[in-house]
Amino acid sequence: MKRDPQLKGKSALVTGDNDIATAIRAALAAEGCVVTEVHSGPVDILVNAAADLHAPSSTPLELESWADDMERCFEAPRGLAHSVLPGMIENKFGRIINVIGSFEPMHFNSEFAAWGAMAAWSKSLTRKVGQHGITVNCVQPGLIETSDARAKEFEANTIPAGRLGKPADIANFVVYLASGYAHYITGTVIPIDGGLSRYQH
Amino acid sequence: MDFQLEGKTALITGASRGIGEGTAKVLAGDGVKCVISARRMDLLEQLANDIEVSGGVRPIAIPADLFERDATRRLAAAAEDALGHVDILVNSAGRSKHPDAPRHTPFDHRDSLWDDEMHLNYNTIRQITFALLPGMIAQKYGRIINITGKSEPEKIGTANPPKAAVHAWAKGVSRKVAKDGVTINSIPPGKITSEQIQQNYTDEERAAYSSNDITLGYFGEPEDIGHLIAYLASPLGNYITGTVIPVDGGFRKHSF
Repeated sequence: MKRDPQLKGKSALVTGDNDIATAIRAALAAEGCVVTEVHSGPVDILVNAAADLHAPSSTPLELESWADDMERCFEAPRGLAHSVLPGMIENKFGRIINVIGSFEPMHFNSEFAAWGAMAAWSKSLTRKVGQHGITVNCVQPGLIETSDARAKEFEANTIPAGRLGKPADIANFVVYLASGYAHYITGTVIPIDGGLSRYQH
Repeated sequence: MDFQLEGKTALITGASRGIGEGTAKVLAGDGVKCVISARRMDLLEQLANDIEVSGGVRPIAIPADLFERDATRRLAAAAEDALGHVDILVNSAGRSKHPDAPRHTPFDHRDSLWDDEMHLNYNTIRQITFALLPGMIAQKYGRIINITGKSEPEKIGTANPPKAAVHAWAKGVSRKVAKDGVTINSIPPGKITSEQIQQNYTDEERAAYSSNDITLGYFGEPEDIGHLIAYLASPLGNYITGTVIPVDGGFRKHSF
C-alpha cells in the first residue's frame, strides 16, 4: 500500500561521499525530494552523513591532537546544521538527521568522542528548535555492507542478525524520520545494527 | 514509500483505546489483517466497524482479560487460529499507573499493586511473545513491538520497574532470534492523547507538561506511535532490533 511521506518538493541536503550517503540521497529523491550534496539555498532536510564509520580501528596514544577528528565528525556537521537552521525556523519545518558511530567502542579511537558530542549537541538542540517544528535525531548504523572492504574484516557472526546491514536499511529509516509520520520523534539516537549494540536503554 | 505490509497478520493487545487503537487503524490501513484484543468487546467491535468503514482490512475482535489465569496463552493460540499465523505482535496492553495506586504515598503501596503492574506490564508481554515466537521462527518472519515507558522515573511509580524489565528482556530476546528473521523493539511513548492520559492528568497538568516538559510543545497522537510500529513491522525494518525508540516529542531528558 503506497503511503505519502509528505516529502514531495522538499529540499534535502545530504553530505557524504560514501555508500550510506549515496543510498540516502537516492531514497529521498525517490520520494520527490530535491536533493543536493552541498549547501546552496534553503534546506528542509539536512542529513549529516559524511562520517566514515569504518575508520582505522585504533588511535595511537601519542596522537597529540584530536582536533582534526572533532572538526570532521562534530564541528563540520554542527556548523552546517546551524547555518541551515534560520531558514528552517522561518519555514516552521525542519529535519536534522545525523548519521553517527556506535557508543560501544571496539578500540581506543579518536572519533569516538565526536559521536558522544554529536548526540549531546543534538539533544540540546532539540530544546532550542522544537517549538519551531524542527526535529533532530541521530541514527547509528552498525556494520554495513559497503564498497569499503574494511567492514568485511568484522565477523558477521558477531552480529546477532548474522549478517552485515545494507545501506538501504539506513536510508529507508532516514526517509521515515524525514517524513511527516515522524513529526513527534525528536532527540533520539536510534541504532540500526542488527542487534549488535549491547546496551538495553 | 511502501511498507509492504499487505497480507501480513498482527495481534494487537490493548487495542480498544489509545495507542493500541491507533496502531490497529494504521496497520489495518496498510493492509494488515489484525486480531484486536482488550477487555471491552463493545469497543473492539466499534473499532472493527470504524476500520472497515474507513477502508482498512476489518480486524477480528477477541476479548481477553490479561489478569485471568492463562489468558496470555489462550489469546496467542486464538490469534494463531484466527489468522493462520502471526507475523506481527504489538504488545500494547499496559498502563502507566495502577488505578488504585495513591498519588503520593511513597512506601506503603500494598504488594499487590506492585505485583499487578509487574504482571500486566511485563509478565503478560513475555508470555504472549514466547507463545508466538516458535511460529515466527518457523516462518522466518516476526516482528514484536512493545509499548513501554521512559526509563526516567519522576517519582516512585509501580509501572517503572516492569517497563524497564521489558527493555532488558527484549534486548536478550533480540540476540537469540535475530538470525531467524525476527526483530523485537520497544517504544516508550511520551505524553500521547489517550483515555489513560485523560484520566491520569488534569487539564492544568496537561497544559503544564506541554509548555514545560515537551520539547515540541504538544501532546502526540496514538497514530504517531502506530506509524513507527508499521515501519518496524515492515520488511524495511529488518535490521532494526533490540532498540528502544522513544516517540515523545522530546519528553525524555537523557541525550543517549
